[in-house]
Amino acid sequence: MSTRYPKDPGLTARMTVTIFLLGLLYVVFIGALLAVGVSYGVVIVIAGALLFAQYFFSDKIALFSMHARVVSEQEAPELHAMVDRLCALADMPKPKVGIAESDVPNAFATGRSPKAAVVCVTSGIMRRLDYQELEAVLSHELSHVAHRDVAVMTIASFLGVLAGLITRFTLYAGMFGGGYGGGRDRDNNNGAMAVLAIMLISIVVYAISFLLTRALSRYRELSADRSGAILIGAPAALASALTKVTGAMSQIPTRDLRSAEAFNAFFFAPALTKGFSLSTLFSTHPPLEKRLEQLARLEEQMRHPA
Amino acid sequence: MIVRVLGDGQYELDNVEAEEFTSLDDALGRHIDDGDEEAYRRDLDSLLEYVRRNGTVLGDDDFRPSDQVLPDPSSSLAEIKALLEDEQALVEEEHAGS
Amino acid sequence: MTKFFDALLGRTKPVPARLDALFGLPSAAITLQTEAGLVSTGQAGVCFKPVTDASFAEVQGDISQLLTMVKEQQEIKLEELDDKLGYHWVIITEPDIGELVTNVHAVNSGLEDAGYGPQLLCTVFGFTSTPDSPKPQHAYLVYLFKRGTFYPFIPASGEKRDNVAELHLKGILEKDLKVEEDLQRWFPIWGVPVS
Repeated sequence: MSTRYPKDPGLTARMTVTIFLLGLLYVVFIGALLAVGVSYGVVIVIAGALLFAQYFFSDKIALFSMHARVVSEQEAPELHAMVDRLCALADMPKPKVGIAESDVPNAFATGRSPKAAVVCVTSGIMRRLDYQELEAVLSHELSHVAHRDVAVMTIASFLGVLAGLITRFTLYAGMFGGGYGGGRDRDNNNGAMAVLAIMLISIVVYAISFLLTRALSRYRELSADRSGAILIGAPAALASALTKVTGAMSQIPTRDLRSAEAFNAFFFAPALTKGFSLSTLFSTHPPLEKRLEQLARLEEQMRHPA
Repeated sequence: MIVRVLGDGQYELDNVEAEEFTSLDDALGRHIDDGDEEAYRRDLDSLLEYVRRNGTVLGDDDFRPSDQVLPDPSSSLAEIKALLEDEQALVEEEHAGS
Repeated sequence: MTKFFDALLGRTKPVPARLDALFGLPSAAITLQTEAGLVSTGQAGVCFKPVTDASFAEVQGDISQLLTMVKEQQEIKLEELDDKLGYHWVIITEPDIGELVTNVHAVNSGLEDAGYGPQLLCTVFGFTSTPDSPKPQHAYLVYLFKRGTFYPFIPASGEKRDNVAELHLKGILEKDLKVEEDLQRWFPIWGVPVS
């Protein structure tokens, strides 16, 4: 599906490598489970059900996990108009539009393919950004959809979830003394060994899949910034949106002190502060300032092309 | 010359100030390399003080890339070292990728 | 009620530690002017939630009586108003920042001594940019009575905030004032009735 979002060879290269390695990991994982004695039936049923659910319901799962709901044109006319304009600009099918009731400024895109995608924003981000900034964020999210890197991330997370599920399943099966599909005559400590081995494999698989996607997820954000900003020709708008949405800025609430009093403004009990430190900021996302610098260079190139 | 202070913003130094800044900044770089936390802390604070006193804050609408980036005061030497290594990895990655 | 008036008239009464933080404001005002081109608008608002249950009814009366008393005795220019969220404001006007802080402190400790401590929410000081400053701006300093800390609040159009400027102000204020470290407590006060 070609859209007018600028192509990013670096991204496509990385995505193919990641998918290839994930596929390899997937095969090795299934092979290892079978080798350890997990029955075909168990693996196929779980893997199949999960793949089906992940593939067909990934947008619903994401919406549910973010307490978001799809909104119609009547419910959010301005938001829909913005998405319409961007999709026309990018010449791509319009995804569903969702809003999550949360003061934390956030936006995300999900869905296995552009046709079945959902672009979602929180009420917190809509309160914090002006029109241009919100449009820039939506352009960033839509470029994830256009580049289909959302699908790669979904597949990657699928592997992690699969590993986790199989570990828990074998644990319960092990606890209730069920056989591992292998021969009935195995005595108990052999079973325990199998449980341990399966758990170990799953944890290793999860860790590898995380590492594989960590580099990709950092690169795809930079790529989405670039193509998102180029599409609307406004790197500065995306930069100011980013500053408002990530880092210390996103900690500052928008709810009035007088209505927040029930929470903790009156009482000395410390607010439940989730640790905000430099390292959390840099884990999967490229550092905010790095993204701003890239956008600043982009703005400069746009103003006076070399 | 434009200097970005992590977690704060961007400041512009004129040419004279830029030279003074660069000499202070080189010293900071050396301390980071040889892991001298106490000297790093002292130089970083004086550098930040210098930039904030002399530099003019870039307006919101003034959107230009920075020539130099300074860590914010709350980050420790170890954190900045990790960031630099991370940065190095990203740069290599980018060359490898494209 | 005598101990109350003693406090008001400044006789020997230990100032609760929390209120000391207020006295950092005059020097902070100087730094604000030099580094951010902001000057006091000469107005501050003490905000508290009037207790609705009957037992406090007569105390409520006492408040207006206290405030009129303060007005005459200390020639403090103040007025009362209620906002749409059911909070009571005592707006104090005093061009000199030092005097303004003293008056704010008198009203705050007066209310605290009258048993209103738990209801005291915050005091808001108004600041505005000097006419020649490049970036016209209106900023508020919110003093959280319970925490004894300050934080900046810079409203922008349409119930939005200029977080960038607020974080920048934090850097400047930290030299003179105890700034609220937990950003999640920097609650805005939309439509604050202080100029």
